Amino acid sequence: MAKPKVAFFDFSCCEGCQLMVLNCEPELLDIVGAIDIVNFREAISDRGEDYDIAFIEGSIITPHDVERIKKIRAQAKVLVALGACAHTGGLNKLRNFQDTEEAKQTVYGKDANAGPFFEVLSKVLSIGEVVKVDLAIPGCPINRFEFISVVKQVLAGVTPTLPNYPVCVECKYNENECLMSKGAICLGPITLAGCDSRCTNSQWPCTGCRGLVQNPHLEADQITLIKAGLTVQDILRRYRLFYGYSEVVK
Amino acid sequence: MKKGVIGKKDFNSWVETLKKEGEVFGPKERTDQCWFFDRVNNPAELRLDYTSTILPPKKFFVPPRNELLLEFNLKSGEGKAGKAAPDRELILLGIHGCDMQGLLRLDLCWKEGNPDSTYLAKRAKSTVIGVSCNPDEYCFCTKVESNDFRQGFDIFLSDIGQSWLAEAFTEKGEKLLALAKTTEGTLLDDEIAYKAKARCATTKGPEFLPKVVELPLLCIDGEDLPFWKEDVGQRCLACGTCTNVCPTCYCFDVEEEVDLNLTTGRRLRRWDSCQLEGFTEVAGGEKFMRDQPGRQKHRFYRKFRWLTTKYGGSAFCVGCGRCGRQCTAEISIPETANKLFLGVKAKG
Ligand code: SF4
Ligand code: SF4
Ligand code: SF4
Ligand code: SF4
Ligand code: SF4
Repeated sequence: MAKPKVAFFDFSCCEGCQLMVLNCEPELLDIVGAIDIVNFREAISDRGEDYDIAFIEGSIITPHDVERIKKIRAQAKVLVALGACAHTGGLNKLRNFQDTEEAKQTVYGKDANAGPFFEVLSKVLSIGEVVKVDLAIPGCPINRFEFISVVKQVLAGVTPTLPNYPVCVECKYNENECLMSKGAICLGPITLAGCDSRCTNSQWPCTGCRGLVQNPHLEADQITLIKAGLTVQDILRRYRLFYGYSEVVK
Repeated sequence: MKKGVIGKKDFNSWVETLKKEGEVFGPKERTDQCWFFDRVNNPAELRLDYTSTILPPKKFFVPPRNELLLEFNLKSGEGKAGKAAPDRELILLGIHGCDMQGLLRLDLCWKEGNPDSTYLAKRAKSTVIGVSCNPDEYCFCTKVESNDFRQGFDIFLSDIGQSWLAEAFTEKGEKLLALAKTTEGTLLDDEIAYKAKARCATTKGPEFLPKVVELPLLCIDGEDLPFWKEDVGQRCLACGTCTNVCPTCYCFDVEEEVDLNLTTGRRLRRWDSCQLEGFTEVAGGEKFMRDQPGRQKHRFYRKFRWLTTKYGGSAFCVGCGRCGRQCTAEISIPETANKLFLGVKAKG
């Protein structure tokens, strides 16, 4: 069997997820042995345009992005959204709660309309909102162990499954004391697990970067958050950070 | 039964001797008032005055995840079962009555039907040394009749001030107790009896209205009470914490993974929870338990009706209080039991 050709592409993001891929050092050699990497701007310089599996990082924010992702989709047999920005739109979606022109002025000041480069869509989009996504690896940034496991499963020809339980489950596997009991505000109960509860392991509350778990118990979550002293506005602000893609913040 | 009194100043050297007999695990403090069972490298780390740990001792017999059940090779078709029994004796030091009762309940379940050889092999190679408690307002072992300090233990230690009163109930226990520097008969029998009463009894526990023997019937009569839906079922976050931290919950899921060579792989076990959406999902997406009120009822009924009836009497909640202590939504067994009791009473 010929080795599958793999390409990595980045759109609007911090490129931290690609960095996480490079961080898979011990496993990286095995992965490289099993695949042919033809496009990976952060790691290699030669660019191939022939690939089977495309890993996409970042959100779609300009008309040019839309054209580019459509071309990649036409070429790739399997398209994987890598990280929150690609998967859900991630933090980038915060812009959707503001006026686009105002947001541009805040970031670029007088250069805000200095050419075609600054032409943006009225809403930030995840990859799935523009083209069909076969698989997503959630997280800001991704969990490299999950990345490796997904790659293995794709190569083995099985459909990778993500956990369908909340971060609290991993938080207990790791025998953490609940941060909510110490007055912190944690979104673990409604956020999709798979990160090994890496934030709460370091006493840092979950901000929800992996997106919502299937059928989150939002009403129950809001009851506990209001008990913990938040207002409806506070809750919305926290939810918007990473759940901007979802109906719950509308 | 053999008993002896171990002076507190001699205690740590006894623990050092125990380390030669096996791997010793006991309660340690991670952060202020947050305890967990862990390997005892140095006896000074032990916190025998702890209240409760985040996870119960079941984690030593069925680890939360990545428990290797089988290694397989897809090309040769060969498989090798994961290692069951540890090389050395597992000595659990500082276990409370509730947690011992929890292990005894698990023994019943894992022995039955298709016995779980991994669990049973580990249990057979374990010694449990109990210790008297430092209860808090969540402990309710006495309410569910789970505050025994003999059954299941190899040794039980009671804090009697300057010393530990050690009672050995098994041969294994007597052998280990013989390694300690003890004085005999320094206590009057009635004094021992008096102290014994305080060993495992909780006095500041929560209100618990029903008698434990009434609960199987209350479960039947209270099946349709509105609080399941309008109260606990609505408040529950479906986070799975209550079952993960419970000493008598044993549900698990099994997953398989294949290596990059696409030839070798392994089958792994991890804890699952009836409070999670995916728990009863089968191929095709159908779910047997569709809503959270149903899942909450399931957990409660499992503790007080189904397994209680099946195994002849004892409740499958041992009153350790962990689920209430750690539930983010502040749902607890005593609270639910009281609502059930009052609800059924009001129905007349
Ligand atoms: S700290 Fe957060 S993730 Fe952990 S149990 Fe509490 S709410 Fe859940
Ligand atoms: S704990 Fe929450 S915020 Fe942290 S990595 Fe996991 S999902 Fe993201
Ligand atoms: S710990 Fe509490 S909120 Fe979480 S599943 Fe159990 S009862 Fe529900
Ligand atoms: S149901 Fe709760 S109180 Fe009862 S044994 Fe389980 S964790 Fe402890
Ligand atoms: S529930 Fe009872 S046996 Fe368990 S720690 Fe509390 S007082 Fe001790």
